[in-house]
Amino acid sequence: MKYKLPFLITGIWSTTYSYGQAAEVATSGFSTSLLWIFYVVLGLLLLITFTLYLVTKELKRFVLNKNETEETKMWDSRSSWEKVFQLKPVGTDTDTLINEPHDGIYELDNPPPPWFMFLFYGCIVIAAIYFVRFNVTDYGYTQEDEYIAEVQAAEVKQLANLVKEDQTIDENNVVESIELADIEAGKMVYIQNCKVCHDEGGKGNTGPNLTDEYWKHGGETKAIFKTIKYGVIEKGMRAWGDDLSPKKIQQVISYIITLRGTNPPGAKAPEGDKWVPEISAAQDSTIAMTNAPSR
Amino acid sequence: MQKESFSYDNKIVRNFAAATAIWGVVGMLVGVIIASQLFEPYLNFNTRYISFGRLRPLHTNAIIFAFVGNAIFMGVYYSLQRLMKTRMYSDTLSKIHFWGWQLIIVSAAITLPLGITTSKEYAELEWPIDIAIALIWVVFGWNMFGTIYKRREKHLYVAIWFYIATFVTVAMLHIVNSFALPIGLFKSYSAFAGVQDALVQWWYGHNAVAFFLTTPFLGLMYYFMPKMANRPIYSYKLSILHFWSLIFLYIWAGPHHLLYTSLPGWAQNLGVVFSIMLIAPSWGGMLNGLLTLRGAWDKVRDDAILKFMVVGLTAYGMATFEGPMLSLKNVNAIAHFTDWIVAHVHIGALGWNGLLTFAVLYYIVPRIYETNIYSKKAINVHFWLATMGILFYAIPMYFSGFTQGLMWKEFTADGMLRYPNFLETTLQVLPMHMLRAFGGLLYLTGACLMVWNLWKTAKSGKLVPNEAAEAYPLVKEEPGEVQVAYWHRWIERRPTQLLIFSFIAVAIGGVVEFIPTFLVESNVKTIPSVVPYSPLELEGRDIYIREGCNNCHSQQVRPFRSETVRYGEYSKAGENVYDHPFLWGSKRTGPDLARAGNTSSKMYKDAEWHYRHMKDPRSTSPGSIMPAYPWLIEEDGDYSKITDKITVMRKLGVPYEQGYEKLAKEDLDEQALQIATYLLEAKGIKVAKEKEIIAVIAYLHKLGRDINVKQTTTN
Repeated sequence: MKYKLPFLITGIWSTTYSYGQAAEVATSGFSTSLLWIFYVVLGLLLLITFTLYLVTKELKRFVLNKNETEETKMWDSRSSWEKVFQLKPVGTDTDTLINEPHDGIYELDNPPPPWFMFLFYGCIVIAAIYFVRFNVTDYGYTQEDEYIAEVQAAEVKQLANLVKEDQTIDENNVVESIELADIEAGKMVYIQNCKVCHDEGGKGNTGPNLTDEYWKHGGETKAIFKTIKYGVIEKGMRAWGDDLSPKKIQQVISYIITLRGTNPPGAKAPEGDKWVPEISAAQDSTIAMTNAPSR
Repeated sequence: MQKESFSYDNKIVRNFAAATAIWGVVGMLVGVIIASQLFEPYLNFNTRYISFGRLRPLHTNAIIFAFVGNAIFMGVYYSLQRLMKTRMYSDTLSKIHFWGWQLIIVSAAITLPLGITTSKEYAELEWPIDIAIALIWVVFGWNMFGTIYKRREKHLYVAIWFYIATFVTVAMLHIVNSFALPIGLFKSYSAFAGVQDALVQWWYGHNAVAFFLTTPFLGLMYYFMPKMANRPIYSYKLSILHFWSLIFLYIWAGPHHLLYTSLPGWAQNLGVVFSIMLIAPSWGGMLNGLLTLRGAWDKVRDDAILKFMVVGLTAYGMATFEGPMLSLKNVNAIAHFTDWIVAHVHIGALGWNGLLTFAVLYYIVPRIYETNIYSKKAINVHFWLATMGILFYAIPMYFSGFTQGLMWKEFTADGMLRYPNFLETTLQVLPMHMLRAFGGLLYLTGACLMVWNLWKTAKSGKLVPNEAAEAYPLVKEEPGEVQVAYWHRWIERRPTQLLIFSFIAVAIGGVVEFIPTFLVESNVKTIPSVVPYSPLELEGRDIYIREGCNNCHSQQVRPFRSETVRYGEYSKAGENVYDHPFLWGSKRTGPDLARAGNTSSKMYKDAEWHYRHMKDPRSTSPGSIMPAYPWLIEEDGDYSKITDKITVMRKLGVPYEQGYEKLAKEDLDEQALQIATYLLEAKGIKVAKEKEIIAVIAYLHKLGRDINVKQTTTN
């Protein structure tokens, strides 16, 4: 509890996205509802203080200044802008001209508006608190701390998602899926990750053509899985095993298989060795069916 | 006592005014051209000299040093003579200053399109021009102080405090940031490396904004605003407070350009807190200007020149509030590297510097030509063109900045980047780029209208080259005789002390930030696996610098999950220890390249991809706005200076073995042959090993390669 107050004050900066993650860790379990209550109470107190100030000011005027002088009239007749910016009435300040003009330019001896001085010192106080918090006390955190917290939070979330997927898929047992949902998901994975090199519909660009019968690293499902998971770095194919879950790789393979023989216009010339899948009649018809809506 | 007769030099003011107007139009035109290239990349017509990377520094230099620079000198030469009640100290120095400065601008306009650049932002000019700038700047200071010393006014007016601070600080910034070792006449390597170079550069870059674009203009505002409105300055005390606090605080804030980089955390935090403290001192200037108009607001309705002043000051207030907000790390995390920053600087440049300059031009020209302005209506039209231009510029860029910044960070539910292809986020904001170019065009049109109006005005009158004036001579006062009305009056009578105290105020921040970063080892942790560039990689790096790639590609992965997933492991200070100069960049028009050579990064692309991408970016990345670089493929690299380059790098502390410079050419050829052979044998692309593209590929494949990722991710 001892560090809650400085946190609340500097908490102004801790509320948005990137800090939020780290702040969560730093205060471990500090409830946000308590924070809101604090802010509401603070706001109410400020409001009460301000009202008190106005009331006493009026009281003072009532007690001391029963007779309106010329000057109080000028103060009262200020425009609302002038009141907001706490400025003296125009005319009351002309007698405070500083003597010598510079090339005809006079300078008034007005003090800076009070709210300006409040801003001036207020910023210095905030800056001091910030600097002390992050560089002197233990309540601050570094950008590396923030990063670790962010990654951990994401890993927890991702893990929860991964658990729902089939974890047993690997290059030894992978079989392409013929579920429409998997092929659609695979298409999304393809567009986001593979399209840059293999182009629209697998027609090939810097990466080879995926629609023809020629394969550089094998066209069998298990071989493609291996190529995607581990990459072929020396040929420009990077490893995706850290970015795509086994299920995602299976899905994208399932999508790629639907591209076979589509012969898109502008396709890249064949590379590698010829490999023709042995397709059972049943599979063939399903692929033809799923092929149609996916394009 | 007899009044003395003398004259003001109006001709030099006229010359600077003409230069301001002409360079202004040129600089803005270049701006509109590069803005258009950002949605239509073919607009460089595949010409190297006007490709974006080379023209963008030309645009910034032309606006800052040619347009605003000449405007400063115009305003200073006009107001200083009148405030000091004397002619400029020396007509010869004035002429040297004027022609020297124009020569520097012309040499910048020639060298930058030729690709002769240091790559450091707003300090791109190579070392011979840097020396010329320093000399001419000294001439300016000499002339200014000469004038001040033979003045007929006892006290220095607030405008002159700002001029003095400008002079001394710009000299300090320019000299320190330009430390470099030359290789021939047209090339040099920065004396600083990596993080340290970045810190020095942004200490310079940030304060170029402060002391070239802000303080001299505050000085001009303090002279011309009361003149135009015929009202006294609102508060003398406020001017004292905001002058000293502004110059003292500004210098510290440079590191806010390097938030979430590998700059040590304490230095980043200093940048943050000093930016916060800057809000009030900056606003002090705006307040004193706007409150000076109290009792004269009715004039603003009719006088378009005052409208320029009011909107200009308001833009200043907005930009100086926005600056500290952008310096908060959580805002910066979204805004940095996006168009938001571009919008921010243009609120300052178009709003504050541009509008104030226009107002001062409209004020001065009829006066020195003893005539009236040719068309008041045209001034009004110009005002609206300029204001609409700013709105059409800034609003789309804010929109674009938010959009792209958020798209870069967005994840899908299962933890993948929503927009893993950087290009997708670029294509999203292209309509905003079109609107921005339209805004720029409006602004340029207004400026052209002004040139026409001023030309007609000058034609209708006759220049008064030497304007007669008279004033009482300055009487030397006895020490006891002086009545001190206010403590600050003391220093206002002592220009030398004012200079010294200003210098102390601006020197402290830099000293406190630099010394630990340079001397304390823990601030830049070394990484044993990071090795210096091979000769071919070094040459590739110099081509990268020549083409200005750093104008659109950063080389700094920030420690965010959205960046490490997209680009790879975040950047460490130890990785850049051999980078003279650093190439972190400040804008991501294209993706970050810090890990372009690391095969575990998604950014890694093989040699064939780079070859085809440079030849025609649209062939590998449909819709890309990157210009094509066919000359890299067609032309042989000039590697004749590699021996000198290695030697100079060693002098700067890069650990090449003694005598390695003699083997460098051989190593270079060998590495080039390897890449050319790979392209031919594995990809069937025939390209001679001498071509520049080979060096560029070698450099890109070196980027971020040396870090040992497995080890550092757990640290």
